[in-house]
Amino acid sequence: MLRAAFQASKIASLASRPPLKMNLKKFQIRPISTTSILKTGDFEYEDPKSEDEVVNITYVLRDGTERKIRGKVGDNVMFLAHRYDIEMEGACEASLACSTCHVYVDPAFSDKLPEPLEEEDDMLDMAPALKDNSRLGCQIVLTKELDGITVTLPTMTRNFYVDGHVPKPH
Amino acid sequence: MAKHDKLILKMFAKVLMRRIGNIQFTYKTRKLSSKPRLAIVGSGPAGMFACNGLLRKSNFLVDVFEYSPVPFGLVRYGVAPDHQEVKNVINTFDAMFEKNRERLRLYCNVKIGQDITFDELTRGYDAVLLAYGSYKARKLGVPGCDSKNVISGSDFVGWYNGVPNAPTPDLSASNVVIVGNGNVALDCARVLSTASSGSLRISDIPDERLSVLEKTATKDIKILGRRGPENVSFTIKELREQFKIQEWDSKLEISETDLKNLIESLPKLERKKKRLTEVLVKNTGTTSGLRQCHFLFHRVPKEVVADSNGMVRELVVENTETSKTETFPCELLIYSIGYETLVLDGVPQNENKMIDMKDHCRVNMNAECPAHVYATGWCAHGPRGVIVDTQQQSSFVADQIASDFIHTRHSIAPGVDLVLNERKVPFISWDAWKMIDQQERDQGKLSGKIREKFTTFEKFLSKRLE
Repeated sequence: MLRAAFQASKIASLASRPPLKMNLKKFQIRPISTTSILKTGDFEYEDPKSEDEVVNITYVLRDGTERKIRGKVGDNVMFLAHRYDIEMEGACEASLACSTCHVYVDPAFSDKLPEPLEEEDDMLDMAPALKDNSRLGCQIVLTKELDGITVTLPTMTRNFYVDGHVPKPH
Repeated sequence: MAKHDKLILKMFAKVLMRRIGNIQFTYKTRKLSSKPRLAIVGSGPAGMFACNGLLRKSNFLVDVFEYSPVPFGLVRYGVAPDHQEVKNVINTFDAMFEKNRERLRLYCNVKIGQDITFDELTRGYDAVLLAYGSYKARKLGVPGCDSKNVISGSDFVGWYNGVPNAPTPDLSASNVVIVGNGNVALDCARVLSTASSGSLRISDIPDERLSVLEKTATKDIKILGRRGPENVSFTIKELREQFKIQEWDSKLEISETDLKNLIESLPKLERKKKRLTEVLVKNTGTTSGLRQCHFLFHRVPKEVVADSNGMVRELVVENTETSKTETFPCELLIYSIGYETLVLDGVPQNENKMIDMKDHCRVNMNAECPAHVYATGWCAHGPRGVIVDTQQQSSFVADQIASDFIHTRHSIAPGVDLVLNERKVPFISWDAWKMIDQQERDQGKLSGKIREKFTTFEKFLSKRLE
């Protein structure tokens, strides 16, 4: 329960997300206490300071088109997507409470990622169209080793929601 | 006489002027709405995710109608108070409203079917998207189920989450039975078993309700499943949480046969079911200690026994595994065995009493209907899945609506402002909600809470009436 309390205070500090920057005044009503840069998405809005920092990443969008992004070491794959208006949701804002940022990781790079936490696995269980190389975008932080990585957004198939078919109960 | 005539003439002129004024106004709004107009019924996750997609991919002007005085549906009134991080999604919706001020409007406290009919909506808009969820709890349907302190899980959740006018349950009970094997049952059990520790104090449970909750005397919770443990609809995170609650011993009390079957099924199961089953197997046994939570299976409720005051005292169940009748002491009975979809007047209904869908997102309207009508989320496909399912479905439906209207550049749909004004329907707009939001946060801050949810909104409504 302490953890819940901690998380709650963490949430309170997640208020000033970059897409809201222009309305910052309006959103400062939430107390900002222990702002962790990695978790708010502010960091992703900074351009790489040098070539050494650059990590190239390719997002394959739902319609199959590729977006090549020059990310940097430390960028969170979900917040980085938000910066470039890539349609990756992030409903819980990287607090491991949903799986809306589900992506498939290029198998050549899966091994270079740290093993998922139990919390991430629990959320991945809920992700539609789960595969062996599924991860949550919000849990991938770019490192030099990941230069050239490709992440693919899952496509939503019409079949999933045809009339009469209901998604399996949770 | 002449004086009287004059008066009549004056009144007539007044009425005429007003009419002309109205015509001009109509003309004006029509001219303004040269873009196609969409009405969304419901401001919960289904409606808001679809709305977000549509604002991105189309040039629609969107009006969102919400039954409650405040927006976001189950994000505000359903998500458990100790799962605040799930509510972060509101930040996405906030940003959407702020970014699209000129295209997006919110009308809270407007009840479709009462304040304005569904037919009027179809005349006012080019497209209507139904996303109002499914909110009638399925009844227990056994003798005595109308006894006092027998409540639906959604009512209990609504109560602690601050739904206006929710009846207060009697929590002085030490024995609680929860019927149902979904996440609502787990949420109810978890909130009841953690409340007295004070850990919910920083959440957003309204103070008056929190004080009732914190005094709960609950010592024994039984969560009953009609079928076996292999059929539970819990999600893994919520299930784990119940077993981790301090000072509570929570166990699945299952038969040897059930346990054997669970273990034997493991290698054959797909990942999600497998991981969940592992948690189930790990937590089987017999509970002990001061506070106990038992997961019991194959129990079919047969009768609710009440005392002379009509208060629930016992639940009689049939154990279908042993074919024996069992009686559980029970002073609070919560049932969460599913929802029934409410179909709005004017919306076609199928033989299952659900919205009659033509395909995955279009409602089977008759040819005369002036608007395209769509449905998404729980009202379209039943109350299943977690937020990611709704998000995917809604984003898919948004794509579909956007592509249906890709060639529609102009529209003469008038919206429903005139009707709402004429009927003096008091509503809460986006700006009014932001004011409430701010006040709730400010008030919450005083006592170290995330927010102090208001449970009455009359003062905000009356302002709109002036």
